[in-house]
Amino acid sequence: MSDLDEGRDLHAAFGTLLVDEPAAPWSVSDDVTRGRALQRRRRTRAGAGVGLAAAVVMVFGVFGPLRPHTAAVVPPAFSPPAVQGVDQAWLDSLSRSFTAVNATAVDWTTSTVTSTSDGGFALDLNLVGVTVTTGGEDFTVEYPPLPAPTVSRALVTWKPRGGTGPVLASCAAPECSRAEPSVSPGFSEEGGRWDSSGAQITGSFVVDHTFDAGGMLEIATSPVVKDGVVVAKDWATLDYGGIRIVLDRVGRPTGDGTPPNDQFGVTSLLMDLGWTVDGVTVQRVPLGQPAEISWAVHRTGSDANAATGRLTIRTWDERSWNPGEGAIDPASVIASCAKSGACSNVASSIVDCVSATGCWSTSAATTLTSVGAAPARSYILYAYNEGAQHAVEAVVEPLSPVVPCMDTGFCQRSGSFLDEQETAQVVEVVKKQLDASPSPSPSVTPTTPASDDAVTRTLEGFGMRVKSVFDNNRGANVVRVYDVDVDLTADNPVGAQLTITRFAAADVSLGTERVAVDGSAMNSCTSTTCTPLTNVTFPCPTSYCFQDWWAITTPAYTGYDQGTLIVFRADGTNAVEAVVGVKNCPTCGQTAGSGSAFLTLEQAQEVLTAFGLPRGGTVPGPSATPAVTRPCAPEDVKLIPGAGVPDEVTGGRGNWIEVHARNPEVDCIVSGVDSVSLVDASGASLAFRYRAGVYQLRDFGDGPVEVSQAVGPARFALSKYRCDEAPAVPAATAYVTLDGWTRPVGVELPAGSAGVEQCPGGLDAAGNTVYVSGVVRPG
Amino acid sequence: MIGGDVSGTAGPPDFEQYVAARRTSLRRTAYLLCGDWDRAEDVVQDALARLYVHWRRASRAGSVDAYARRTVVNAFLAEGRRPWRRERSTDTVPDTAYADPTTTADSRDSLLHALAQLGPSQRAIVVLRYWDDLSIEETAEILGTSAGNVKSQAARGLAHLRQVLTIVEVDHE
Repeated sequence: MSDLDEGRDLHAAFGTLLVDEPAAPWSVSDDVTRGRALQRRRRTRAGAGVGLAAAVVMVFGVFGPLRPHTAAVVPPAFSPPAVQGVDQAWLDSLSRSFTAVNATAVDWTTSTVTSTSDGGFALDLNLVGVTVTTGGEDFTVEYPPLPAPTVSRALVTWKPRGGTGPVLASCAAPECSRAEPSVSPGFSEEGGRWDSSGAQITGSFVVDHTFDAGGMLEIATSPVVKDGVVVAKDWATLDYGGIRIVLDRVGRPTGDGTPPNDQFGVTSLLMDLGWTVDGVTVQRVPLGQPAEISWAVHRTGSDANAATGRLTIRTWDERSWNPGEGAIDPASVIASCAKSGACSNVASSIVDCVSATGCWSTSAATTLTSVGAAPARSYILYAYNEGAQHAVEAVVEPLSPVVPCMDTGFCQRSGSFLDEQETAQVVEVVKKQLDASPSPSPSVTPTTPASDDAVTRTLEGFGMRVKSVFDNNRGANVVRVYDVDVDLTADNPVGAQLTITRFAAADVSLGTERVAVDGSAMNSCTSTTCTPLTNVTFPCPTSYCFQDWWAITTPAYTGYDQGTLIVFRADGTNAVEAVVGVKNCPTCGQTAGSGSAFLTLEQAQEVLTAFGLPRGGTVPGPSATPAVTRPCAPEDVKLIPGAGVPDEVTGGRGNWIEVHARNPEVDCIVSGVDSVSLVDASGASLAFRYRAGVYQLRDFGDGPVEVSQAVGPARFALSKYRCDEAPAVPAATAYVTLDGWTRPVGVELPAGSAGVEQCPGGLDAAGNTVYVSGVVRPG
Repeated sequence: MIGGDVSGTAGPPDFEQYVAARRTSLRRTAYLLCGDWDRAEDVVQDALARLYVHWRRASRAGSVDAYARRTVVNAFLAEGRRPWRRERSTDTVPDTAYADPTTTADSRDSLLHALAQLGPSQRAIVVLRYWDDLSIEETAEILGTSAGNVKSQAARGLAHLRQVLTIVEVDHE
């Protein structure tokens, strides 16, 4: 008898265990959704490493700047600070993991990142609640305005040489109970939970995750207690399981593992002065506040000489410069020394000079009591440059243990680990770096024409900066494109484009309801593509009158983002048009396509006034060549495949398709692409989803493009994600219907890796969505 | 005009059909491994998510069931390695409500207890052999171990369970 036969009765016995089987709480679609989520996470993890390279490659690639992925839209305060030796992307993944697991995110403005001397780091993180909305495959995160209440705290330690983390080391009975160590392939773990408050608050959890490849990552989360009361949300503190999920998601910390350093070079100086730097702590400062870095140091030796100290450097630049009385920032420690009895030995050295970049003045003092973040007996050295609007403050805290006072004068200085001369050396190093750091540069000075200069000055009056101006002339129309830095005070660039077109021929009668000028953005406004068209005729105090029309684009408008402001101005003979783009701020929490124009209507009108409406023959008159208005018919043009645009880094595939005039007599316009259909070599239709735009990139295509053999062709792009799996079916022919056509025209696509191909996996596969751009002029 | 989207959450049709047909069975196997319906649900969810990712490979291999069982067992073993899930042999079995009139609660308790006393790998062998009725070779392949190991572990596991069940029967007499 086999042992299976012997186990027959066991099968029946097992069956009796299932009598209390609960109803299944699941559905098949739940399992599909979870599977897709896991698949997506794996793809994301695999692709994360090439993301930066992709950005670098594609920013200057064929299509223009990258379209920010929704998942990448994080406000600056929720983006980690740059710290030498600590991978910023890893820190970001940590915050995102908290978001995914318990709907919290790291508030980096109240959290600190300390780079430690062994190449590791320590994070003291304050977590705030975020709103996560799921829908379909994606989820969106709504970040709260700061300051926001902290709902949980996390302490994270990375020790590249392994060992026990500081939180687990403090886990001891009876307050804290430890789990047994566990060993898994690739790592081992040990955890603890505080059942009552001790070294940590009741309800705190910690897991030490030791990698076989070396290194230990500890994550501990705690409720938040204020005035003895737990104020944290119960969902916000991760238990073992939650911490494990975060550990799974973030993996082994990456980074160059270098010892702590800083952008100023202060670390090296401290080491030259005989101090061992234990850690450099950086916190992401909110906009407009001084940056702050602190160094923890120690010196070894006999017990009498062994001591630790702390140096904190705060710096102000143009953005945070906020001179108070005597040009000293009110937020500085030295400013508090104005209070009677707070400081001693206050000394100032004010320097006036004629240098355009200004001169540095200094003020120094020793604190008698605790002043702000500086404890008593700290030495403060504050230096500031009014001309450059820079300031630096060094706070040298007394040594610990505190050296006993021999007498008042001796005590005040012997308690600090840097003397006055050494502190001055440190400040000098920082000053040089501040002077050398780039400031928000002034607007470019246009060389031609005068109208550019007028527009530039007008935009500067709005607190903006023109980064560049370039021509994009179309036919006889003069088109100027202004690349604008919208917010000089933002710590992340906020850009936008303003396009002003001066029309060579604009026979628009005042008082008309609609604009009908070929090539104008306003001409493409319909009841669906724009908000209701509005117009007003300005009174005529003199003999000169003009009329403005304005509208805002809707998602149906092809060629400009939703929210673009179009203002058209005409005086009956001449016309100019301003197209005010939406703000481009990938790190402002702005959802793609949800922006608004960067100028108000009134500002746009002011800009148009600055640009000038041609009068009295100051602008070219009507062109000798009538403006082209006739849409290209299928028989007017031939479609020719252009260059492929593959990108191995992003996985992008694409082809340009060019629209050429068939003969010299043809002169017509192409406004856009109505539809595209792709077939294989046998003529069988390939199933794709089609979307307007460009794969992974900012949409482009600025509407009508003139096509003639004299002017040249128009073109548009088909692009998509590559196929991850075989077999892929290459598309052999694209049938294209341009705007206004009633029948498609076929164009054979080139074979090869750059070709458009159908991937396995049906319509849901990422590679089966084809993006169709608007039309542009080549080059 | 270009645009439109036919978004949905449908997975490969074969996967959905398989899940609809076999999920209950996998969940029961997981329950016998875990001794807890909630954990069994977690294990099956985890396993099916992994199965989804590798569905094409699994379906091409021709034995989806074996692949699915392997993912369930692996998910169970992985769960067991986590410290907060660490199982400890105890003298007491959690109270459970029973409804089966043909079997006494005592004998079920004892069987659960006996199963819980087996190590995770041995329990997996016993469950796959005597609940899922897999052969020694199939069980060995799923667990990535030798047939000899399966045979000896199964025999020891069975002997342990028999001993417990016999004691219960004697007690009842």
